[in-house]
Amino acid sequence: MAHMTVAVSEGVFRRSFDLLQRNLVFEKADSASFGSFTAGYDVKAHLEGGSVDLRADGTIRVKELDLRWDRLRFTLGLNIPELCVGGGCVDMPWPIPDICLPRVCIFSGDPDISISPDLVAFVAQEVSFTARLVVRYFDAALPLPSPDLCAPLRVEPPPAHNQWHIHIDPETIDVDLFDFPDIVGDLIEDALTDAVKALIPGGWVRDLILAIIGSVADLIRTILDIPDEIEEWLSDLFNVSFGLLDSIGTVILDFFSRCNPLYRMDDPLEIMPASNGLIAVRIPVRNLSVSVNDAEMVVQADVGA
Amino acid sequence: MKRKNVVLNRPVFAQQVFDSRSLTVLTTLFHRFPEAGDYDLTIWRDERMVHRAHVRVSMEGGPLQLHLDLAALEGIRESYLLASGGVIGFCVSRGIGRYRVEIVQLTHQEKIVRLDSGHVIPEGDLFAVTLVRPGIYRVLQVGGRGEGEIHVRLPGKERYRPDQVTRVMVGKEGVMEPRVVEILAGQSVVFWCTIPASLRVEWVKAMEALEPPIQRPQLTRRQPRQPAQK
Repeated sequence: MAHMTVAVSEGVFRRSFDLLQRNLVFEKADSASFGSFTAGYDVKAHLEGGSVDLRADGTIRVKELDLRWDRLRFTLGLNIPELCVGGGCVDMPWPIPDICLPRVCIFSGDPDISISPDLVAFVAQEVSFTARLVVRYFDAALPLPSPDLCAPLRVEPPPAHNQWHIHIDPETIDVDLFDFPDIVGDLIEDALTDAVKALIPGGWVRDLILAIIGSVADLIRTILDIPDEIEEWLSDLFNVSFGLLDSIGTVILDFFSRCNPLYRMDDPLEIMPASNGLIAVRIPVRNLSVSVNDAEMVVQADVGA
Repeated sequence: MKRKNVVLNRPVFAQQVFDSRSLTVLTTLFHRFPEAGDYDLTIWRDERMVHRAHVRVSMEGGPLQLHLDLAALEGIRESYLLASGGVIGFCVSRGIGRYRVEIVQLTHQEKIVRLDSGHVIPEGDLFAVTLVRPGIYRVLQVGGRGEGEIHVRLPGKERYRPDQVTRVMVGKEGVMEPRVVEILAGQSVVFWCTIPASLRVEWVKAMEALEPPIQRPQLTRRQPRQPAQK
């Protein structure tokens, strides 16, 4: 039988979780080249709301945490392909060979454009996960791993003394896919159209160039190789190509499972503070374990020698 | 939103006069080499020689058509191989330079000038212009009586292809057939010279002036019908 037992009600557990999850900030920026275009993102998000349920099978279920985007800037850069006039061939009577004309190109450089709309207002996502509680022992005598992957995620600095840590260890994490609405497709198409038009002088020169292109929308679709709607293409870019869902999952996993304990207990544990010239009374804590049932979290430990 | 590296090929839009004696951007001169043999090619820019090369025209093969971008040529001497009966197209892709092409046939006995574009396009050669600025262009056979017109419209809703070419034959006394051609901006007209000729194509006026006047119904007097005699 354990020497020490502590029970934490579901309400207190929920409050503790809420305090911890408020500190989780996901921040990332990257860009990639996809041949004829480049795409990048600069995002920052935090978690809000959600519910916590302690379950009889020893797991906890965290449901419908809102992934609130503080910044969701999407950058898209296009290389405008060569636009040329002339060319073509004309049939000539024998013995003159058919004559083919050279093309003369309108842009002698390699013009490109880029847009960076902030899509915060258009995205709503939720995160849910199932987790177990695990106990880890922090030995202050051991150096931190190098590189210290927890450094950007840690809410408090590592303690200067030994501690028992109780972590939430997610087993499965569900993050809603990015699903941009139609209006985002329109927004991007309009921004790109304006950018392309701004490249070109006005008047008949612009009319001619737009005639060569066909339409800016067609040009954009060709460059981006978009078979369907822009918003679907964008969602796919965020979900698959950027790998943001994996990054979000990894951050959540590392934040709770490795970098920030939900509860911590000093070892040795001070049970009487120093007073009247007497030193504090501390007891070594051994064999700390944690379990949950549908009503509470239970921590048990022995007092060691 | 940001932009960079936007360099418009401005002469393409600014050029309004095209002359076979002075090759500029949007013009191409095609010279035919019906006879196999060795030729000396010299390119002049504003009376300064910028390129010289040897052209071998062979009965035994080689390309039937070569394009030389005069704006991209350098002074180094090169050698070009062409099939007998083939053509070399001399074009200018960019810039405001004016070029002249001289081709001399080298035989055992003499040097025969086959082409001096600064004077005249020889019989059988072709001169092409790609017209970008909309409007009405006048075509003149310099020193001859021939005259033609090219109407250049901006593309409308129809399917547009800039690589459509219209052929005009320059015949006896410079008469052009057809005399008037209509093309869309960015398309080309090729003049096939069946006589030695110098051609000048110049923008005259904007297209709006080409709109036909409102056609009023024509009134005619008609005698009232006489009653039929019984």
